[in-house]
Amino acid sequence: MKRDHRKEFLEAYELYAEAIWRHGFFRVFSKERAEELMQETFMRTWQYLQDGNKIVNLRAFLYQTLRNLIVDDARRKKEASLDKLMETSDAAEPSYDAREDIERQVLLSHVREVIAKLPEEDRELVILRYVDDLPPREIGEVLGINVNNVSVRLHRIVETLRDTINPPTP
Amino acid sequence: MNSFFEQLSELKSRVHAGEERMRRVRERLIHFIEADEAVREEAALRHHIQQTPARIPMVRFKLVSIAPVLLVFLLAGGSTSFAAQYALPGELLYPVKVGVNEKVGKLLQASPEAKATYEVALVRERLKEATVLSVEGKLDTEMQTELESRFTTQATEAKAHIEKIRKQGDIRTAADITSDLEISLITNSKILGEAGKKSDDNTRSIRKKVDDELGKVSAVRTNLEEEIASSSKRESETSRSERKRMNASAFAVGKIRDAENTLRSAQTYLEKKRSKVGAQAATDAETRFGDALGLITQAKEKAETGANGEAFNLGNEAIRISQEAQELLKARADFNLNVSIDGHNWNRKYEWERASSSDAMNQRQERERSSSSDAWGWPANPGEPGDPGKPDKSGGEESNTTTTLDN
Repeated sequence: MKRDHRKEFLEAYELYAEAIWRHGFFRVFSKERAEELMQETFMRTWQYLQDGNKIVNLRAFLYQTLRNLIVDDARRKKEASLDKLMETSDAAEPSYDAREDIERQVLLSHVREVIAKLPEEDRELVILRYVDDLPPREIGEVLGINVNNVSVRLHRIVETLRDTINPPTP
Repeated sequence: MNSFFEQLSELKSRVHAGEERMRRVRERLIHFIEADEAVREEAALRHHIQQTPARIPMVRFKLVSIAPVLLVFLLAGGSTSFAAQYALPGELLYPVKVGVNEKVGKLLQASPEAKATYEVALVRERLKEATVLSVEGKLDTEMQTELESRFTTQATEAKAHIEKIRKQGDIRTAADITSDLEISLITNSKILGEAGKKSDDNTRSIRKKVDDELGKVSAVRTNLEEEIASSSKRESETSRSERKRMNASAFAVGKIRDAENTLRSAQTYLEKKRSKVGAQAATDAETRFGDALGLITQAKEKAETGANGEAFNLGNEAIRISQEAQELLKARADFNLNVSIDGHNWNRKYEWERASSSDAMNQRQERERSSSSDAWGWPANPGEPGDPGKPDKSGGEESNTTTTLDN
């Protein structure tokens, strides 16, 4: 029985770990920190299950746990995001093929700069929708808001970003 | 490709955790799951044993039969056994604690920051073990040798990880962790000093190791702070980027809030333990809190003038003072040690005025002047490098050499 739990849990890891890591990466722009966040997310989820709790939607639960960890981390450090997001050290770069390095670094730098300008809650929403491809219903579940609210906020953010990237001519 | 969303989509398709990372975390998770299961099993067994009335012969038989099972958990599956967590040198489970639990703990740390923080926690644990053994009068030469060896190894590893963080350019994190290590060393030096007053050579020997380490760590912390102050100044003078200035300001503001929280926490601790720590210690702690408050006020003033690096460092110094006072109060409360709270002069570089309690400060200075022993309550040895009572000599502003943790 115990072995079954472990097997199921490790299967869930195979299924969701990459997505959880990527979400973490797009939130903190550090490979190592994203790894720690992913690891901690799965450890906490395991303990939650072992404490006898039931999880209806595991994917949403993992995102919720990750979200809490990121919030706690930012609160603890209080020196969070802007500087970290704008770091250009090697440690902060995703793993790229060396041949396309320059083009991709430019791409990363641009995306990072736009994301850094967003308020934290909008950044989270954009990543959940456009990086993790979560449907608005599931985003609502992760964030604890209703699906209409998710859609309205996403619409507003898309409009804002459009203005940011292609400023309207006077 | 113009649209942000197209760029985001393109980047998303190119960012991957990588097989090696996935495998590494999977392995750590399996370790964790095994340890977690063992701990839960053991807790259940303990609960069962506690709930079982031992008067009935049949139940006694059950207790005997459980013992080998428990042993199996401890030796095989129970790699993070509850019991081992509290083991001291000389006890049966101590090898499990340091040889299994702490090794598993190390495996779970991924980044240099996490690794450095973990090693600092291990250093703190070794010093706590030394204090407990010393207070209980059990610290023999074999234990002293083992603790010193582990302390030196773990302090060296902590410094190596800090140096890595520093080389990666994250000077503030390097300074924060160095500062944490320094607090542990300085408070434990005082605590061991008090615990070993009764001609305990083993405790004295460990304290000497701590003091030697403290001299080096203080020098590195001072250098890191100078680096923070000068790079912040350079950025504010030369950077055209408003963002960079905002970042530096955010770091300083964050650190000041941290300092305020740490001070509040230490004050709350004093209120809870006031009756236990004694009137003089409480007064001394309040004086130190006044010092910390003065530094916080000065940090705010610096931040307002854009001297964010200095504000950050002043905030860190306030944190050290509050934590030091709290740790020393804790030693009085927990170990009933008569350790004095009047604190260490953390950094003579910053001249500051206290926001309050100026009379208390004068009293403290008067006490220091009239005291025949050094501020550490230990015979002074002025010619010795790394003397913790004189941090500026070993690496403060008088030194022109750059000290790194590789030393």
